[in-house]
Amino acid sequence: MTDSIAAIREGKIKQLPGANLEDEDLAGLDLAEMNLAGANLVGADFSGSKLERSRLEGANLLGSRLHGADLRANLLGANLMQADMTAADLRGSNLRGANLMGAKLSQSAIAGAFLSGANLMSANLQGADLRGVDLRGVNLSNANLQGANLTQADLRGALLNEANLEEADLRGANLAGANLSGANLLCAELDGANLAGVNLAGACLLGTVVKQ
Amino acid sequence: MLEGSILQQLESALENTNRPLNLGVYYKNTLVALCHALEDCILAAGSQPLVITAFQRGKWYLQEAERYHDLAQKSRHVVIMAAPDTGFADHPTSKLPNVDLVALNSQDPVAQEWHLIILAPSYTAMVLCQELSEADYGVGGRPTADLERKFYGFWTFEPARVEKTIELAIAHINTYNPELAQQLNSHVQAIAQEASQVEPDDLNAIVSRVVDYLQTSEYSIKQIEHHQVLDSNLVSNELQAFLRLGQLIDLADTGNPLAAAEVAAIAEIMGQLLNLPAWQIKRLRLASLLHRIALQSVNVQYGEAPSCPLVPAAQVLRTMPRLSAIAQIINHLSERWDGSGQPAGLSGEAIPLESRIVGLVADFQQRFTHLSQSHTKEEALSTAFAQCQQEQGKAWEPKLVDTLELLARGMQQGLTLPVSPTKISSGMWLIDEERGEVGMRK
Repeated sequence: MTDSIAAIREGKIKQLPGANLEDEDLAGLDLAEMNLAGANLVGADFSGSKLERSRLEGANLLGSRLHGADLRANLLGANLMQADMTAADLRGSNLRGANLMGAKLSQSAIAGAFLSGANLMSANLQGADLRGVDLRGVNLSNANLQGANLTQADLRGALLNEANLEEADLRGANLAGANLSGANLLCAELDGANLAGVNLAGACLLGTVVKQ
Repeated sequence: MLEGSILQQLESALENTNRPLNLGVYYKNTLVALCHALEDCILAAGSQPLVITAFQRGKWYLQEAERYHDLAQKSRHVVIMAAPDTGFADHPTSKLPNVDLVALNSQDPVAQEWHLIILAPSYTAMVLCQELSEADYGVGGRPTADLERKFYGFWTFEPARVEKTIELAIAHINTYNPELAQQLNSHVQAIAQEASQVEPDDLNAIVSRVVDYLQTSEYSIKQIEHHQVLDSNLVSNELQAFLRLGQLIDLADTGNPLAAAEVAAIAEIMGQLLNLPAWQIKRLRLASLLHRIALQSVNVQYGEAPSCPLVPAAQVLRTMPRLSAIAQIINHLSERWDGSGQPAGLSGEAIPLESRIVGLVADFQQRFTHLSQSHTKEEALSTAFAQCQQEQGKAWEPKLVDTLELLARGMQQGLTLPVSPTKISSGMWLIDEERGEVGMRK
C-alpha cells in the first residue's frame, strides 16, 4: 500500500477503484481524473487536493478531510457523513443520493451541483453558496444554513424543519410545499420567494423581508 | 417587529421604496463595539452632532454615563431615552445642560430598542436594533451571558436614512416632551444648513475605526465559551463596514448606481468561462463589490514605499486580515498589461489575475452604462467592447479581452446578468475561509 500511496502522490496511478485508502494522507495533491469509485476513504485527508473530474461514486468518505478541496467530481451515492468539506469547491458535482448527514460544508461553493435524493440532515452549510441549486425534496432538517446564499434555489418540497436560516438570502427561491416548521428565519431575506403551501408552524420570522 | 417601535416605523416608511431595509442579527457584544466605534468618531469629528440614543433601561445608560460625559462635550445635544432605573437622573452626565433624559414608559415599544443616532453636518451614522423577546429565542431560551443577548436591526452611514430616523425619533420624543422636540428640530435645521458648508469627515478613517473596534472585541472574547458565534458576528460586521462604504459610493453616483453589483456579476461569469476555482471566483466577486473604494483615489499621488506603492484607500481593507487578498487585488486595479500603469508599474502576468479581470470588467461596465444613456443596448454593448478592444495588449490582457468578447456577444443575444444588490447583512458567503495557503494554492 505504501508503494501505491507514493505512486498516487507522484501522479503515476489514476485507476484505483475499490482501493482501501483509509486514514491515508493525500492532502494538497493533484488527483484530477483519478478513479476512486467505491474506494474505502474513511478518515482520509484530501485537504486542498484537486479532485476535479475524479470518480468517487459509491466511495466511503465517512469523516474524511476535504477542506478546501476541488470536488467538482462524481460523488454519486458516496458516503460523506461527517466529512469536512469546509470551503470546498463542489460546483456542478454529482451528489445524487449522497449521504451528507452532519457534513461540514460551511463556506463551500455548491452552485450547479446535482443533489436529488441526497441527505443533508444536520449538515453545516453556514455561508455556503447554493445559488440556484436544485434542492427539490432534499432533507435539510436541522441543517445550519446561517448566512447561506440560496437565491433562486429550488427548494420545493424540501425538508427544512428546525433548520437555521438566520440571515440566509432566499431572494427568488422557490419554497412551495417546503416544511419550515420550527425553522429559524431571523432576518432572512425572502423577497420574491415563492411561499405557497409552506409549513411555517413555530418558525421564527422576525426581521424577514417578504415581498412577492 | 414591535408595533410603534422606531425600527418598525422606519421599515414602514421604506416599505414601498426600491431599497427596503435589509436587517441583520447582532449580538450585544457586536453592538457594544459598533456603538463605541461610532461614538468615538464623534470625538474626532469635524463638526458637532445631535445624538439621540435609546438604552432600553436606565441601568444600561449608567454603565456608559462616563463616556457620554465626554461625548456631550463634543456634541450640540445628547438625548438619552430609557425606562428609568434608580440613579438614572442623578448621574452628573444627566445634569449637563446639553443632555436630556427621556424617561420611557415601560410599555413603550421603544423601551425594547437599542439606538444610537448621530447627525452632524460632516458625519452621519446610526445603529438601530431591537432585542429578541423571550419567545423569539426559541428552545434554548434567553442566553445567560449578557454579551450573547441577540438583537436584530441594522446600522448605516447613509445620511438620508439617518435623517429620516431622527425625524421619527423626534416625533416620538414629542409625545413625552414637546419642548425638547422643538429644540431638536431646530438643531436638525441648523445641521442641514451647515452640512453644505463643511467637508464631510473621512469615511475611510471611520470605517477603519469600526473594523478596529470589532477586531479588538474579537480578541477580548477568546475566553468565552461560545465565542465562535460571537466571532462570526463580528467578522460579518467588519465586512459590512466595507460593503456599506462601497454602497455609499454607488449611491452617490446616480449615473451608475449598480456598478459594484454589475461588475461582480460580469467578473464572476468571466471567472467561470476561464474555469477558475471557487475560491478565486469568490475573490473576484468580493473585489468587484469593493472595487470603487480604490477607484476613488486613482488620481492621488502614490507614496513612495520601498517595495510597492500603495493605493491609500485600498489600504483600509488591510485593517481586516481576511481581506488582505482582496486589498492586494484592489491595489493593482489600475495596472496596465504593458506595464505603464499604476501603482507599481507591473506588467503581464505579474499583475494579479483577479486585478486584470476586475480592472477590465469595471472599465467595460462603466463604458457600457455611460453609452446606454444615449444608445440602444446592442449599440452600447458593441461600442463599449470595441473601446476595450482598442486597449487589447496595452491596458488589457489579450486573452481576457477575448473572453469578454464571448460574454458581450452573449449579452447582445439576450444573456441576462444575474445582478442583484448585495444583501449587506449576510456577506459571509463572500469571505474565504480563514486559513493558511492550503494545498494546491499558490
